[in-house]
Amino acid sequence: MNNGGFRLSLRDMVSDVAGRTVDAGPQNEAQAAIARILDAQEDTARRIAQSLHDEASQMLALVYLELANIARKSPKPTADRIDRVIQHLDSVCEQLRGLSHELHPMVLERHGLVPALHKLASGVSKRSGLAVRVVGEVTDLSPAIEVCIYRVAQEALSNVVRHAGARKAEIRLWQTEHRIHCSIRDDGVGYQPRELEAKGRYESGLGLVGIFERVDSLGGECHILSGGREGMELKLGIPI
Amino acid sequence: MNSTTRPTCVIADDHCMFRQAIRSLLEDEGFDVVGEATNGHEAVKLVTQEKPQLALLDYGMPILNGSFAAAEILKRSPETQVVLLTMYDDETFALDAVKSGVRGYVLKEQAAQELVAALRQVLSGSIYLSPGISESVVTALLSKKEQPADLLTAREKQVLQLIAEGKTTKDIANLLHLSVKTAESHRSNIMNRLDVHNVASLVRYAIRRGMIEA
Repeated sequence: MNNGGFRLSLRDMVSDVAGRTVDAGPQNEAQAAIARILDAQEDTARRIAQSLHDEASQMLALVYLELANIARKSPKPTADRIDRVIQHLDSVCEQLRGLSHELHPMVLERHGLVPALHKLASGVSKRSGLAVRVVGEVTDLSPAIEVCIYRVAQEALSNVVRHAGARKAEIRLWQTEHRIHCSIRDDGVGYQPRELEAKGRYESGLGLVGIFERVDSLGGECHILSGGREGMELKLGIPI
Repeated sequence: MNSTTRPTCVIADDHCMFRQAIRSLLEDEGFDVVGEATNGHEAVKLVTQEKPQLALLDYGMPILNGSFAAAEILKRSPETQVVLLTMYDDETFALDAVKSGVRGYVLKEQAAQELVAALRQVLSGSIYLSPGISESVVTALLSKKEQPADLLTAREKQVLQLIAEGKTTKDIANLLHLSVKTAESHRSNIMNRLDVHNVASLVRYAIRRGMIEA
C-alpha cells in the first residue's frame, strides 16, 4: 500500500495524547502506567462479565424453570401469559449474553486467541454483513498479549463496519522468533490523511488512541497504512 | 406413568434452588428423583449406591466437576445414563463429553423447555445435545480439528481441578483419600507433564480444558 498512502505511528499518537513527546521505549513510566490502567480495566470487565455469565445467567435459568413449573399447573390463559413473560426473558438473556461477551470474551480464556478471533469475526459478519476472514495460527501467548490483540481487532473491525464501507476484512496473525504480528485490513474507502489531520488524530472517532496505547503498553508498535481508495490496514507487532 | 415404571434419577448441582426446581420439573413429568448431590464427589457416591437409570450432573460443580464425575460414574455404574447440564454453549466441551460416554448435554437456560425430552431421548438409547450446540459439534467434527492430546491421567485431572480451585496439598489429599506425599507427587507430575511451573499457568490450563469456570 504505497500509492500516496500514509503511515501513522505510535510515536505520533503518544506525543498527541500527552501534548508532548514522550520516550517511546518500553520501560518508560507512561507506558507502565497505561499498562496498569488497562490491566485494571480488563480485570474489572472480566469480573463483571463473569458475574453476568455465571450468576445472572444461572439465576435466569432458574427463573425459566420456575416459570415452566408454574405454567404446567396453571389454566391456559395464565400459561399463555407466562409464555409471553418467557419471551421477554429470552430478550433479556440475549442482551446479557451480548453484554457479557463484549465486556470480556470468555472464549479467550477457554480457547485462546485464534478461536476467539474466529468467534469475533463470525459475530461481526452476522451483525453487519461484512465478510471477515481470520488467517494464521499462533502458539501459546501470554494472556496480556491475547487480550491486547483481541481488543485491537475488535476496535478495528468496529471501525471498518462504521466508517469504511467495506465488503471484506481480513485479520492475519503470524509469529517470528521474538514477536507476534497482526494485521487487520479491509477493502473500504480508506482514510484520508487530511481528514485525520482536520479532526485531530484522536478525535477521529476511530478509537485509535486506545489501540495504540494497548500495543504500546506491551512494548509493541502499531502502524496504520491507508492507500486512500484501497482500504486501510492496521499492523502491529508485539514482543513475546 | 405408574410408580413402577418411573425412571430413576439422581440430580447433582451446587445451586440448591436450581436442584429443587429441576426436581419439581422431573417429578411432575413422571421421573423418580432418588437423590440429590451438591458436588461431583457426592454424585459419584450416590450414583454408585443407588444405581439410577439417569444421572443429571451440573458441569461446573466444585471439588469434582460434572465431566470428571461422569467419567467415574460410567466406570462404577455403567448402566446409568449420564446427562450434563451446563452454562457453556461450547462445542469442544460437548464433544469431549460425548466421546467420554455422556449421553446428553443440555444448556441450563434451555432446561425448562428441553430437559424432559432430552432425558426421554437418552433413556430410549439416543444421544441428546441442545440444538445450539449440536450444529457446532457437527461442524467441529467435520473440520477435523483435533484437540491437543490429553497429557494428564484422570486422577491428575481431578488433582488439577482442586489445585485450580485453590485447595492446599493437604486438602487435596483429604478430599481424594490420598497420602499427602501422593498428592504432592501428583502435583509435581502435573507440572512436569504440562511443562508449567506456577499455579497461575495451571489455573489457565484448567480453564481452557473446562475443568473449572473462568
